Amino acid sequence: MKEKKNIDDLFKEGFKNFEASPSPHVWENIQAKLSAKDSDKKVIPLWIKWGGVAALLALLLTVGNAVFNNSENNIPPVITEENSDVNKALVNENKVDAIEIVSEEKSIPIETVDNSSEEKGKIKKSSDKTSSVNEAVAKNETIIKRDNDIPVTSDKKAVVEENDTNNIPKEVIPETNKTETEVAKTDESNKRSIFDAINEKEDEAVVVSNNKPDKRWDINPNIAPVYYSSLGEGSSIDPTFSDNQKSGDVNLSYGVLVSYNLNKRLSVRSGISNVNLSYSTTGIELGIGPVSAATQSIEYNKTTNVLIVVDSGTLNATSSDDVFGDVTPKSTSGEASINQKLSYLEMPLELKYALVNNKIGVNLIGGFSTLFLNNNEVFVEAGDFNETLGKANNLSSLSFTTNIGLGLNYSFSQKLMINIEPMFKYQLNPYSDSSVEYKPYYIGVYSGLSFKF
Amino acid sequence: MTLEELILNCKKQDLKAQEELYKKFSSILFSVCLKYSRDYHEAEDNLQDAFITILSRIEQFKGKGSFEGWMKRITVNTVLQKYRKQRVYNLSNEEQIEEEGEIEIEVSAIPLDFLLKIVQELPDRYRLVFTMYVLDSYPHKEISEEMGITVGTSKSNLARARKILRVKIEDYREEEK
Repeated sequence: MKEKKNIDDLFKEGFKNFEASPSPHVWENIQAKLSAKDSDKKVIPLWIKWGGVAALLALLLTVGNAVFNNSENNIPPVITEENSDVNKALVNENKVDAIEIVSEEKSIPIETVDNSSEEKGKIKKSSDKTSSVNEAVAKNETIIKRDNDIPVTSDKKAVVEENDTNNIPKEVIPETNKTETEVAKTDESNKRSIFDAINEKEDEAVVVSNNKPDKRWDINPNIAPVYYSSLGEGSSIDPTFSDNQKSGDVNLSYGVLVSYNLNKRLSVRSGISNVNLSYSTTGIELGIGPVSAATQSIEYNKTTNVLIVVDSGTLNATSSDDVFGDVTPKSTSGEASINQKLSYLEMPLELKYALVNNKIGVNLIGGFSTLFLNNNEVFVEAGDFNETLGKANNLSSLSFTTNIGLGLNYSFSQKLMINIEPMFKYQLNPYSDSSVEYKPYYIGVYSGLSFKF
Repeated sequence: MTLEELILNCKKQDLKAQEELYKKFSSILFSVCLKYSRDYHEAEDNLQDAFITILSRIEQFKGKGSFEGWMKRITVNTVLQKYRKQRVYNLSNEEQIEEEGEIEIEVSAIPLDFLLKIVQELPDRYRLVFTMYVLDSYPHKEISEEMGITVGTSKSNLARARKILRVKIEDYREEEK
């Protein structure tokens, strides 16, 4: 069969019902990549979980500590025990007298029931008084003196009254008088034991307040130069720039941190700040051409005659065969660079532990931050020439960093402190495209003033 | 499972549905890859990349138009993107190359293997333009937009591709004799 045929038709016919089965390993590879992607995705929820746990922990500590601390302010348990001890001591030393008094009361007829209950009330009151005024040594002394006096004198009164109504034998009266003087005597020994007790108590109080921060809250507006760079080779803009010279720029971060002191050493803090980051890639050349020939990760605003950035030497490698796109080279004065500029809203959650906690403090800081992408721009610079290409389309709008740092501070007063904190922050998922080998981090030296309240 | 159900389950990232979808369409998509790639091995690589893209973007398929067409489109784009990444720019003005008229050749049974082989052997852009225009019936305008070239360049690339193919077919026939 021989006939003249258009070459197009020859191929069209030939490929009309063309189908071919790929080898089974293709599916195996796809499966492997899919499961790898799944595990990539899990990175974020894991960090959200961890973040949640950290936040919950911080919350529990804060609330727990606040509750515990409130009860401490009202009646510290240690101190009430002390008081009861004091009272016990008092009772013990007064034992003889008390027994005497009680025995006297017992001998007093029926109506004394009221009296004794009244006395009980008084004793209770007096013990309340001692606990509430436990810090004032001098006061305590006088109150206790009075306390000891009052029941006795009232006893006396009661006895006198009872004498009138119930005809108690007269010997009782001198006896009660005697107990009065005896009580006065024992006051001497009581005083000493109360002093001792109070001294002890004060020691305890000092121990308790040692772990309690002077001020619970502090607010810390801060500003930092931040340097942006990468741990990995690779480029976030295009894989062809992986081996190009890249240099991170120093930008500014500013914001405010609020911290809550859990105790004298540990505090938890959060806040909000604005972070600007940028880096530039050199070893490139520029051309003008259609958008399809341009870097895929940049979203251009127009489709034709866009500025195309390529690896140095690519434009001149003219080949008649392996060709792609019509790009006119653009001559530039000076070395050209492609720059990526980012701005994030950063919300950290960090724990700060004081290693040294004097006028000068040294702290370890660790935690993480949530970054919300605010602004991003890719632009080209060459000498005086400067043009914005567009936005990068491979950035995650929500990403996280892990933070670690060292905090140094100097206290001017109880309320004011100056801080310098070099921090290292590593970005966990900066790019939505997981194939990007650029592993960015930033280092900032955060300085600011802390106001405590 | 109907195709709709299959797509729905794939949207839920159900691995079984994904495998079934692959089994159902892999040979059609592989044929696309073979036509656009340099060789069998690269075609397999491209199929792999294309299918992963299909699965990850299946959410975006809203049921408008044919699903097979949508998948083929992604497959072609994946291949185009791959060879586009290997960017080498031609700065000579290709539009000056004269368009040749239709090339007619004598036809007897030519095995498909051979036709595929010579298409694959074409330089990247000639192959892409030829396959898009002749085998998949894309108009020049669309080809030029997809590839980032002018319509003129697309036409001259096609002419060059035809010329190369004709020579190879004639050589093949010489050997057969």
